[in-house]
Amino acid sequence: MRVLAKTLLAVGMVVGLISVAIATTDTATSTVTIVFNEISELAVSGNPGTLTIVAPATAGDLPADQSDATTTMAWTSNVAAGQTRKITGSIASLFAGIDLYATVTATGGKGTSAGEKLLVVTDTDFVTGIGNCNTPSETITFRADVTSMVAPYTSTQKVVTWTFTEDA
Amino acid sequence: MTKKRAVTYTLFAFSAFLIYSHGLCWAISISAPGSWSQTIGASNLTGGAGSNLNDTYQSDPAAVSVTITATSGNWGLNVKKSTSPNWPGSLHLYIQRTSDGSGLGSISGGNFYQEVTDIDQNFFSGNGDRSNVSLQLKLTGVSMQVPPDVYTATVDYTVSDE
Repeated sequence: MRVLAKTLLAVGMVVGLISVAIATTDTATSTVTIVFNEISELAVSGNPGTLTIVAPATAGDLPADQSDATTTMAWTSNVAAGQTRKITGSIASLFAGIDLYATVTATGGKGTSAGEKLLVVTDTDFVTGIGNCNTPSETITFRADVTSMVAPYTSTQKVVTWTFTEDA
Repeated sequence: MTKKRAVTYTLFAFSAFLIYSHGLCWAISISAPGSWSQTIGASNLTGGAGSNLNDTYQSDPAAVSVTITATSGNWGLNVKKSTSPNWPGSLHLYIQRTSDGSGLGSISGGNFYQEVTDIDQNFFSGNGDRSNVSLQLKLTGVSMQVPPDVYTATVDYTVSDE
């Protein structure tokens, strides 16, 4: 009977240990998937004020430059690792006797401003190196530079197009 | 019957009893059907161009439905997550229990959002079988600083007899 008792005790301990070791848990899983799309949003606050060219103070001079800094540009961008975006600008057609320049600021690391650039009919870079950021109000400054005297004209509007695109 | 044979039969019967009785404990089981997929894009900007994204997103209140069966008394449920290698450190995942489910047993805890980390943490506990306990997930830390990509997290629910 002593043998029986020892054997029962041993079996009981083994079974008990097995049950403790493997018996008391179970696991299930669920999956969370976040699809983060590319975002490329660009907007301007409106049209700049009218740039009026007036007679020069001194006969023989060209009329003075006129500028406007009343409009702003906003952008929101995210790009894949290693990529950046840029903002280009172009004008539908040139003003007679006037070169139109523009500057777009890029504050706080929201890209790199190219400074003042001449608007032409082909795309010109104004801000480059735009990564994952948003900025609600960067100043656009237009400057009209009279290059030659032409017949006066009024209410001549030109469309300036700003484009958000992948940086080369 | 010889003494040796009697011992053998007794051992067999005793072992069978122990295995059967402990087998009731072995069988605790959990299922957690459901998942959550969230797409984030320009429509989630707070105010169009120039604005940032909404910081927080929530799943359906019953995105995941947990059922715990074959219990033998008190149990506890732990939760943890494992993420894809590209998972941004700024993203935080939370979970809460939004229903008691049904069943003869009881359930408590987990009624408020708690962060799901990479380490097993106590979520809620109960007694007896419970079916269709609803869970809701929440994601925070979303901003334009997060690169566009697909991020995944696997949430593990581990139930243990207590």
